[in-house]
Formats: sequence, C-alpha cells, structure tokens
Amino acid sequence: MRVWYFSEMAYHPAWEEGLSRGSLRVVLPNRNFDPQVGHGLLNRYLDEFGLCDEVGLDIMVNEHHSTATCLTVSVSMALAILARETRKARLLSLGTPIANRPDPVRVAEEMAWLDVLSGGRLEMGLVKGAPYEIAPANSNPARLMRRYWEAHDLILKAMSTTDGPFNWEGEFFHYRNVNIWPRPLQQPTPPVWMTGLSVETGRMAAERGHVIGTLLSGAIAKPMFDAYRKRAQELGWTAGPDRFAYAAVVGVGETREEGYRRADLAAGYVRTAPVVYEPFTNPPGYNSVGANVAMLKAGPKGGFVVDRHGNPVDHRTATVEQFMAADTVFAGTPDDVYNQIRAFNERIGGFGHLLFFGQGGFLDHKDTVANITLFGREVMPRLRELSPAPGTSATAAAE
Amino acid sequence: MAVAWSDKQLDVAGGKLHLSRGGSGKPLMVLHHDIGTLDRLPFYDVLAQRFDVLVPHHPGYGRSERPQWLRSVRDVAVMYRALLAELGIAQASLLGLGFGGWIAAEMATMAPRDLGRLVLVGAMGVKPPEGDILDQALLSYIDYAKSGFHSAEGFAAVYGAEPSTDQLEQWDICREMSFRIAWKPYMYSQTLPHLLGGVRAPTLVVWGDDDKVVPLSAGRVYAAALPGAHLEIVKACGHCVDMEQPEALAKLVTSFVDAA
Repeated sequence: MRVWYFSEMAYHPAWEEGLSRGSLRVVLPNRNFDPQVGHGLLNRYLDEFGLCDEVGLDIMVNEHHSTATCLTVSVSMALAILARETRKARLLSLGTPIANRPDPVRVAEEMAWLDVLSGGRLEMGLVKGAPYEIAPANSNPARLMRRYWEAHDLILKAMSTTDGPFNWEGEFFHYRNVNIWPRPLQQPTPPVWMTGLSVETGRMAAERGHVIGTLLSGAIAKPMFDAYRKRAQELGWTAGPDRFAYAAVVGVGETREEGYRRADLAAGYVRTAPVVYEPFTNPPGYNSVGANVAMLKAGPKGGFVVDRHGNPVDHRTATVEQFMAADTVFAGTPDDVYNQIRAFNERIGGFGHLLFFGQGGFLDHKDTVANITLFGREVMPRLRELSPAPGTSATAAAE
Repeated sequence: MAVAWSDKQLDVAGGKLHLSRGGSGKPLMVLHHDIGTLDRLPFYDVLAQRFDVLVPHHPGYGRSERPQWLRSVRDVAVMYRALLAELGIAQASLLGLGFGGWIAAEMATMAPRDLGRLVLVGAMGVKPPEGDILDQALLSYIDYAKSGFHSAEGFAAVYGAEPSTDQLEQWDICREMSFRIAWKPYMYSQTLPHLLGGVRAPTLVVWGDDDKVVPLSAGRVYAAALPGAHLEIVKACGHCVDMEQPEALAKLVTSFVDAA
C-alpha cells in the first residue's frame, strides 16, 4: 500500500464565522481572510508537505475555490513548488476539475510541465469537482459530465500525441492546432486518477483502467470498488488493489488518547466541508434528473453516509468514535491505526492507496509534524507489506 | 363558459413538442416563463374566450422533449416558427411571458411581416441598463419561483404554500434547460437589441410594478427599440403578471390584440 499525505490547507480562523452564516463556501466574504495570517499558514502547510518526503510518504494535493476550507486554488501551483522541494515522493494531483476548465489543453500543458520538472513523479487526477465548485468556476452545470469526458479525452490525446499538431472539433471544445510542449516524461501519460461516489463512476473508471478514489465513507467505497472490479472482469482484466484509493482522516499518537485528540482536531475538516449555502449544493444538471427526483422524494433529511452497522452519520456533528464506525477516521496508537486500516482493507476487498488526511484546520503545526512523523515511522512500513505497491502506470494495468 | 382544451404532441426539429390549444378567434401563441407552466391557468381561459390560444411547452420544458442539441434561445424561436408553419398559421400574435418574452422578441425579428401583434410581459432577452436579471443559479429554485410574485399570497394561490414534489421536479428540469440555452450571458442576448428595430408588428410592453426578476429598465429598452411600442405598468404585481394579475393582463392583451 502507498500512503499519500494530504491537507486542504484550511483557513480555519474563518470557520466560526462561516458556521454562524451557514456557509463556509462561495458566499462567505473574503474580508474574513486575513492575508497576513494566510501568508503564515500557506508556508506552514507547504513545510508539512515537504516533511512527508523525508519520512517516506507520497503527497497529494487538491484544489477548491472561494472557501475557508481550502486555500489551495491550483493543484499545478502547489505541485510546482513541491516538485522542487521534494526528491522521492510521488506527487498526486487529485485533482484538476476539468469540466470547470475552459481550456483543457492548458491543463495538459501544465501537467506535462510538472511531470518533466519532477522527473516523472506526477500522478494526474482528472476530477468532476464538487457541486459547490460550479459557482466559483463560473461553469455551466448543465451537461457537466459530457463536458468532463470530452475534456478528459482531449487532455490524454494532447499529452500522448507526439506527431502533432492535431485539430479537435468536439461538442464543447474546438482547437485548430494542438501540439503541447513540453510533453510528459511518463509515457504515454502520467498515471490517471478519478474520484467518485457512485457505482456508475466505478464502472466508467474501470473501462479506462484509471485509479479510482473516494473519501470518508466505507459504505460508499465498497459498492464503487466492487463495481470497478466487476467491470474490469467483464472486460477481461483483473483490477488489483493499486486501482483503488481511499481517503480517511488519520490521527496517530504515542497513546490512544493522543491519537484520538489529533484525529478529532483533523476531523474538523469533515465537519465543516459540507456546510454550504443550499442553492450551491446541487446545481441543475450536476446530478441526473432521476437522482434529483430521488433526493427530492427523500427530503432534506436524506442521510449522506451510514456506518458499518447501518446507522446514519451526520458529518457536521459526528464524534471521532462515530467517524471511526463509518471508516471516515482511523485513530489511536500506531498499532490501533494499523489494525484499523488492515481490517478496512479486508472489508473493502483490498485498496492500494491510502489518502492520509493528516491535517484539517485546528491541528497545529507541532501536532501535524508529530502525526506525519509517527505515521511515517511506525505505520507506513507495515502498510507497505499489506498489498502490492502500484505499477508504474495506470494505463499499463488496462492493457 | 368552460373552454375545451386539446393537448397534442407535434414533431418539430426531430423532437416532440407539447401543445395545448383552446378557444377560437385570431391565433394567439402564448410563450410561458422559465419556470414552465401549469397545464391550465385562469388567464388562458379568459384569453380563449376571444382567441385561438396556443400554449406550447418550450422544448425541454414541461411535457416537451429535451433536444440534446439545443444551444440558444434563438433556436427555440426558430422551432416555434416551424411549429406555426406546420399548423398552417399565418399572422399569429405572440404573447411572451418573462423568458417567453425573449423567445417572442426573437421570433418577431425573424420574419417581420409575418406576425399579428406582439405583447412582451416582463421580458428577458435584453441587458437591463439598470440592475440585473435575477440569476436563479444563486438561489434555490423554490425561492426563485417565489420571487416571481409581488405577494406570498399570489404565489400560494397558484402553486400552494408548499409546492408539491412533482412541481419541484418540474422546476428542476426547467432550470437545467434554461442553463443549457441561456447560461452566459445570463438570460439576455447581446445581438437582439440591434435587431429589434426591424420588427414590424405593433408591440405592447407590460411590466409588473414590483418585478423582482427582470428590472423595469429592460422594459424601457424594449419600448424604445421596438418601433411604435408603448409600455404599460401593472400595479401590485410581480414578474408573473399572468398569474398574479390575470384579469388586468387579459384586459390589456385583449384590447391590444383585438385592435389589429
């Protein structure tokens, strides 16, 4: 198993104000962001990412917009810095919200540039993006997934074509002369990742052999991974654990209490992430008409996740123990955390990538450093043995 | 006198368009709002006493099929031109309500002599010089529908105080379709104002005095750009004049269209 340390680079000083207004995203005015405080936080967070390289962890970054939950506005910018500050860690962008990007060729250029700069350490996530990203991106929610797939195909073609230029006359994108420089170091493209919550996304990722990642709910991960494995089987190949990624908040400590305390602070991210002004939670076209009708019929109390025993878990208010029952959080001593991950790995049918939410707002620098260091020293070596490390290329597995 | 309405599906541009038709007299096509339309409204019944009233559901709205290829409001206007031709109707008058007003204005620019009279009510389609068209991307679709009314009672009289799940589903489908064809710039055309001067149909522009969806300044743009148009304001009324002040609007429309 590989472990990818991940932090959203939260701006937690504004969370209380955001919670009181009922939205940490989109409509929270940026006067609640103090640029001097932000200067300190951004540099601190990048130092914490840098530490991962020293302790043998890989690195994942994502991006969100117009929010106090995440200061990373560009995976490319964050990884450009980390490509220079790290030597061994693989660098996962999870990822670029390509249906919200007006220019997919620009995405291909930046990813190729990062791959060359980092010496082929890039893993490239092409994601749909959360519904509340639509408004800050000024992106049209209608026909989002059709646009996603066209952008996806164009990006991969731009990265893997070596005898261009080629032209592209699609439904959404029209280019008369595509010929990116530089081209990526990893051939034909860096490994491709997707994210999702549904069985359908699992199937679509399997059809392309991409790594599929999901987050914070074993109840969501299991059917999606199962659908992927089944679809791969139908297509004549076997999906190994290296096709599956799962994101969980992890708090590890010298004592169980210390691990729980760190997890509780890091889980602040999970509690705040869903707090967003209602009109931006489900823009039209983001979900299918059928899915929307089902949601309307379920009413506003339709639960988001359930734990292993079928109990609903409210992400906004859950305790560490409730989160642990839903596989949202792994916490305790290194032994505790290892045992929880091993048990989850068995329940889920094997996953090759743990996305390690090791910081989530109020966990301070000292605790974050301890969390990363202890995980790298005590948990990581044992996880390496748990399932095979991934192959060198996502596309290789599909061939 | 009860009006006998007929409903049918017609093939236009490769898809099925739903059309309700009732009454007799000169043909009057009513183009509904971006929140769709109920099948029957008291307003439609009053008009049907004097006119051959045609109420199509816009493509992708209500019971009309969603054409996957549809990209613009002007495409809808062309489809309605084809629908009128299919029905063998010449010289129809058009009554455009809100979003439907934009479609009607586009139709009027296309074949300037082949139209009876044009009535635009709280019409979208031009950039208001003051204020913005209320963007339904920024509020819930229930709040958006409510903002079309001057009073909560006006809304409740049509949709009930708590709209049904079926109604919510309809609004959800409507707004996705609106975003497919009028997303950016939102709910107006940058070229339409330059084409309005060619319209030959006499035009009446009507606005609610409390229209919170389309600023009255857009009504003044229409009234100034359309040759011989004049503007009427309806009191104690929001954007959905047809649903909130149906009698007042029916009176204005009837006397104006009848004068043709």
